[in-house]
Amino acid sequence: MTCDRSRRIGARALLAAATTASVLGISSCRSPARAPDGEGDCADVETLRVCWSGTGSPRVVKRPVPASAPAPAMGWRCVGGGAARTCVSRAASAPAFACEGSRCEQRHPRMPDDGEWQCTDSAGATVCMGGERAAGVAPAPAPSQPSDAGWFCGHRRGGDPGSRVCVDLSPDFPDGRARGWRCRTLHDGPARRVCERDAAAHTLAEACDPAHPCVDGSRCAEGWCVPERPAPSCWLETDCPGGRCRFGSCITGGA
Amino acid sequence: MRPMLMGRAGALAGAGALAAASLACRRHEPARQDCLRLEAPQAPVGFDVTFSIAAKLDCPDLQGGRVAWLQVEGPALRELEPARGGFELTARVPPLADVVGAPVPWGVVPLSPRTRGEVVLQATWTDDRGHTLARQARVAAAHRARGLPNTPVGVRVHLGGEGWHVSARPAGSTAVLDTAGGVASLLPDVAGDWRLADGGGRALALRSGRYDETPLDCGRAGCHAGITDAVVTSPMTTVLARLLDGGGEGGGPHPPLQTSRDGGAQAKPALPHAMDARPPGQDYPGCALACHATGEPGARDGGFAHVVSELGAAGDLGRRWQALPRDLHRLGGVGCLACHGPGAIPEASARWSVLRADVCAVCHDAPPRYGHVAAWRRTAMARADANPRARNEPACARCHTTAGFLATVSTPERQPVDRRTPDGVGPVGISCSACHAVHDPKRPQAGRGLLRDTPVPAMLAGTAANVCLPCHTPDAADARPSASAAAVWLGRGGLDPATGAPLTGAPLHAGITGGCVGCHRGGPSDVERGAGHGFRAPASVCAPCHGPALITSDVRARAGELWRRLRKQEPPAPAHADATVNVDRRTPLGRAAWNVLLVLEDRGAGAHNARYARALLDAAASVIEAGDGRETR
Repeated sequence: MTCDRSRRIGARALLAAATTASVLGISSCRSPARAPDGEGDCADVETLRVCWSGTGSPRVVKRPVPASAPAPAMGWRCVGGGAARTCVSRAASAPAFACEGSRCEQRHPRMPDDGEWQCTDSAGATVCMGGERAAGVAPAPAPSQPSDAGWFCGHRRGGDPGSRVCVDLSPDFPDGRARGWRCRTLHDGPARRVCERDAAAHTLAEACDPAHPCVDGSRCAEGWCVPERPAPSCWLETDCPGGRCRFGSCITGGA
Repeated sequence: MRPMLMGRAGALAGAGALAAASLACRRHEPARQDCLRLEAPQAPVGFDVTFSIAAKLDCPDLQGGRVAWLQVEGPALRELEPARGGFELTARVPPLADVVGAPVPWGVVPLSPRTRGEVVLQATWTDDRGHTLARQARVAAAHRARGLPNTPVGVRVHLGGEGWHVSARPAGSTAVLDTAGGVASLLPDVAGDWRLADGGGRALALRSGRYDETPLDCGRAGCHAGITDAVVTSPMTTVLARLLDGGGEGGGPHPPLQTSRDGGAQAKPALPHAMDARPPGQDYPGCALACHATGEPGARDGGFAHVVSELGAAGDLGRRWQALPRDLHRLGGVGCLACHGPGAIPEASARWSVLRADVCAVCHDAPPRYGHVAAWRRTAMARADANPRARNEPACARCHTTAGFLATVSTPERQPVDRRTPDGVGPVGISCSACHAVHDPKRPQAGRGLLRDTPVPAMLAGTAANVCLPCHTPDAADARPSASAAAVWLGRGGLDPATGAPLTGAPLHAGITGGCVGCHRGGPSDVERGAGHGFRAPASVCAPCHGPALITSDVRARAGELWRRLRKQEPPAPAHADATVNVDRRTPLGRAAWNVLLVLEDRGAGAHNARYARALLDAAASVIEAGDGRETR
């Protein structure tokens, strides 16, 4: 699905928006379709859009992205659904990767907000822990919300008061696709996200079938590996008594 | 025709004429002016070194001609040598000591916009057909430096002292000590710990780091949570956010930071979201980044400007604050690292350095526009600890040193670490941080000026707090009264010689808005902002109430006469520092002496409260003249 309605709206408002959009590299996209189970239960997962039912069953729906322009090198970063959906060129809010051979590095990687975070990657998702407020930084309008939209956040079980866990199911990749990359965030020196080519790496949003199972913590839905409904609360296995910590959420059941 | 070298602009001579490149906004010139291009060093060139500038004509229809050069700002360059018809210029930056204009302190040398050896040179091209083009180039000897031992990577550290050598360095560093003009310097190339020692074996520990790798976790419980709370709404914290979002300093419109494309003054605030996307450094906010954000523009220090360049398109500043990436939020504004530096908290023995005015001077010593520090340096407060005794004796240090003052006004449970100034670094004085508490947990909503909330001295109980009071009010327990201006001003401190009861008077000037600085707001006339930090009280401040006639008072002369009559010697100057001066307040004559000293200790007694001063002297005289002799018990 593409943003047909968005294109019509964009055409009407083209003159007014052209300057800003070209400067910021931003293209808005308002999806004509509503997600089946309510906007709050959907998320972009790499190039998929996944919605979870009330019982947690995932369903893959089409991911609306701007069709009026060629996809940016790192792709679109989209949040929200329906009329509230917006897509921004990833390059407008995070730097491009610098690649050398099979190794690519992104300086100043995304983090949930301005606070102190420690991040790691897990099968194509980025999970961050911490969130202590940064001292001497102008406050965000809504401090409790991640300032970088696209993160799911929750309080960490058993962590220090105020400690949070956030997960980004659609982080930046050098070519905009998670598949074929194994990434991590380095915190020695200036934080940076390093992705290395690894054809054997398994990630979310991979195609799956009985012969090609999904990574632990995800399930095969409509032929795609999708995560369970995000309920970020863990960083370590020990944060989930009797369960496992996958993609920042405690899950139960067999691996 | 031989190229003409114009003399340095006399009116702009001296350090006071220097403005920071990073603080000054570049003028948009008509396109025609772009035909003349100046290739000048972009990076600091160093002190006592030669640099060159080339002038190039980029328009085919303009050929030949000659270029004349004029130094319009900065310390006088040496050995200016134009060549090739003026199309090349070489010049030599003065040595560091000459630019600083004072002995270079031991250790990390602080450098402000005024003292970093920045010059502005104007090239004027003319030809025989009457064409004229003019361009200016800025060249600086060094980046600014706070003088702290924790210092950014990529910013050269200049070292006061002799015989420096590196005894330990971080892994991977290939940096070496340079020496130019007799001053050693080091350009930290990697983050980490450095150990240096001078020729006498005195050690200096440096910690280098990038701003963007330094955690902002100062607000952890048990550390500085209260301070972190306090700075959330600080105008320093939010300055860049407000400017990007259209607010001005202090909520008002921002002063015109730029000129318009046609070179004319632009009255409205220059805000990026109302502009097309010009690269930082050419217009606002580029021109404000040096002081409204963390880090040094032009340095690869992980500061705001550096990170903007690393972010590429994501670093576009033509948006509102909230749309900027996280790392720009963390570096935008004057946050912790802007004053305390990157890397880590200095070793305890080096924490005195953050009390130097040089930390604030990085932004507030950029005359003629920002003259706060320049004005302050001309005051006695800047030299308050020049005398070793004043610096070292605890009773003196409480009001002659910044560290002593802060220890005095701090609560017992929050005593700061020992931050006494070591020998060899010159006077620190009563610096900015004595009066200004930029992150006072007790006053998170402090108004403009961020003045410190200090306790009211016992002698002035019941009066309004004022940061000047603790050091300008005697302690009733002292053997002799010390600096008494505030006491006289408020009509307090005197004693009835006969009974020993308090002798009070009407506080005639207590209602003046602003308190002390309501009158003490005079300073150098050659700075646009901050002149009030000269703290002079010119006669003009009295005129609105007292008329233009100069107010004179004989109270101090009379006090001197009474002292001579009482003690048969000249009045001590100052009495509070003369250990031989003691008064016994158990006797009428002792109390009379106390009153006389109260007046003598206030050089402005006649202006502060002449009526009260006279009452003190009248009371003293009644006893002295009656006894007409030496104090007796």
